[in-house]
Amino acid sequence: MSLTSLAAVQPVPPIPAPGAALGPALRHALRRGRGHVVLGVEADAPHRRRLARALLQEGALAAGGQVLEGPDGALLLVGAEARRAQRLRGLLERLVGAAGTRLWSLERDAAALLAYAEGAHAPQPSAEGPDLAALDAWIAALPLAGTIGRRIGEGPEGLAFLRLAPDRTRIAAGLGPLGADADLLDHAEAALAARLLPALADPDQARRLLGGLRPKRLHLPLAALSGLGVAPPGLFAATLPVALLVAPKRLATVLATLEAAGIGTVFETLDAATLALLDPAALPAGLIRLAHGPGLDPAAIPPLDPSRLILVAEEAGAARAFARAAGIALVETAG
Amino acid sequence: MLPRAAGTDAAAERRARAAVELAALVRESVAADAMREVLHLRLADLAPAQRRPHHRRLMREQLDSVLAAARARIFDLPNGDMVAIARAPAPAIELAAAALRASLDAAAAEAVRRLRLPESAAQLLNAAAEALGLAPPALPAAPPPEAALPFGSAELAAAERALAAADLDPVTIVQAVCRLDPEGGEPALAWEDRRLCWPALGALLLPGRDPDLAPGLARRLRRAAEARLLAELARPAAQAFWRPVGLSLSAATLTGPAFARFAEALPTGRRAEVTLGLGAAELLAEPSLLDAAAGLARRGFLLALDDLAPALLGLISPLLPGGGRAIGLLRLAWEPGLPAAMPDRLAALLAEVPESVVLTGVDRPAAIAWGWEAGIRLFQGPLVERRRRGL
Repeated sequence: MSLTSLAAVQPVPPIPAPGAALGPALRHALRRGRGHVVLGVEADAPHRRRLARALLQEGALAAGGQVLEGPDGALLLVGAEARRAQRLRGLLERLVGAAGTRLWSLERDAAALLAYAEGAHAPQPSAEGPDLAALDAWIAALPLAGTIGRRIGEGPEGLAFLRLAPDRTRIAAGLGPLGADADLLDHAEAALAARLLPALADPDQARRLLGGLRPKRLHLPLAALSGLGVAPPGLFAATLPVALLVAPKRLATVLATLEAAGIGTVFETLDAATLALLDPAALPAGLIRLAHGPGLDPAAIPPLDPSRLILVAEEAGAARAFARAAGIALVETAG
Repeated sequence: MLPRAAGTDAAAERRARAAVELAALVRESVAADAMREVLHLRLADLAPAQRRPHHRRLMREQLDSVLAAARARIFDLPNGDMVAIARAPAPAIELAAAALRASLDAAAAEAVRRLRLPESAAQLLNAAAEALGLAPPALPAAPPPEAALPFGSAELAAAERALAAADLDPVTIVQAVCRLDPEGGEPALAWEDRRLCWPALGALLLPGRDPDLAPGLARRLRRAAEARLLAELARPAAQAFWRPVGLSLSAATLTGPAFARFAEALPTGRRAEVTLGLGAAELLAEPSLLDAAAGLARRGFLLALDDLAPALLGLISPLLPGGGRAIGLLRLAWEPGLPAAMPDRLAALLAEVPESVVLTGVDRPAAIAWGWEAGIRLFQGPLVERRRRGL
């Protein structure tokens, strides 16, 4: 099989939109995974990409499997027989270099593969992004799984809650120049949050959003819960901005609505700077997120009841030590 | 007495005719499905002291001046009510309503109603019939649920284009901040507060749509409007007729390029004549804004904490003026309960820096009396506007 003869194989059948079919195909392949692999090729230049795709399709005839596109634009041969795929890889390395290919075992690398496929729905970082008029359509086309960030809350008995909220950094990266506008990000965040509850009602989507975990409580943005009439008691808590404190009338309305629906509250997020500006004793009942950071002084915590606090941290180790010292039971990390 | 009686008769006849014409216009509007914006001033909702003929005349003059350029029809009904109608979109109607409300006490703001034709035809026909004494005053029908048009990014993009060419003057509310002294004397103008009237701006740029449907998009539009306002204030023509000014800006505007250009264009000495209002909510959400505020204060601007309810003073006391902080002024919103419960924090503030408080929303003499007693000398609100005009 020579490279030049393959380059002439035209036209190539169309490949589905990035990531669209990857999840189902991958799950299917994982069920009969023994001795099979996923082969990935990163090829940027159009002529190499065409060639790589043709090679994979040719390979699929012999090694089995299906050619798909990965979240990062990589071409994937999903479910190929291991030994033949290994030979195909050698051929592809002559085309794109050794760093341009990857091989996952469907037996051993299932978790990594699923994580990779989940990224399939993240908005791609973009230098251009949508223009303003098309923003709503762009947001509506974003699949939730790749834009909702998941954070894990741990208590004394292990998993205490899961926090699901749109990931502003990922959305901003996909938005291009518009991503620098905090008000537009708020808008996108609210629109995505409003889709959370319906998605959680669908078992398949819920599994992906919850990452296979079974939390007893879910912390969600207020926009996700504002339309809910009555919630299962104790299941949901709504995240409220601290700025609501200076709008007492609206705060009272929001609190009354949430209480009537059986939804708890989590105030977000106090940090060293905010603690210096407001009297924390004035915060209404409910949990309070407290950002763990270098400026946070354990001496500033006493007016707050530690049992109401969630210590929010990027790095779990130091945060756990701080929480133990301050008597804070709940620690929230990226997991 | 005869001529006067005859004149009164003629006036009564004119008013009765106005009511009939109003009814005809409403029916025609329904028949043609023509969208019109309506303002209805109900005298019955005003306190008796505000229903006197000279008050009525002043309100009529106010309507005339705001609506002069808007091709609106104004109907003077037999019971003294006034109805102004203009073809939609008519931001001037919203502005007229805002202007009337600004000159009325808070309790009387209900008297100014905003309606739309053809949806509210029944209510207006009732009003016309009631004014003619034809029908018992019916309970005001609940306004029909507005079929709100969507407000999304496409509408925002169109609104931003419209804003670039829009005249902001008709949607800007100007209220004076005046120094009033217990010893008497004329109210002395300290500066003019210029604020965009959001309902009027919304009616101008997004007719028939509710900006609250998408708060994030509405905030972006607001920022664009603030940038326009700043650009116009910096123009040489505006600088030639300069008056000390008070602005209320969103945090993003204050730290953005529009404000940087404005500050650059302003002669250094004038910075002290610019008061910049910041919302407490924005400061709480983004405490680093205080550093930006401190920078602006060092450059000579006067930073103000915007329209704060008295009950919140204790909650965010580290933001209040005094002690060399960045915020130099507190705009305190008047509430009738203030004299009965003076917040401790306010007493302490006034003892430390008495010149750092403006009492806003002043709509009754009791507010000024209390302010004087507490040591406040700067006032803003409907009553201040009336006093400036010598009423």
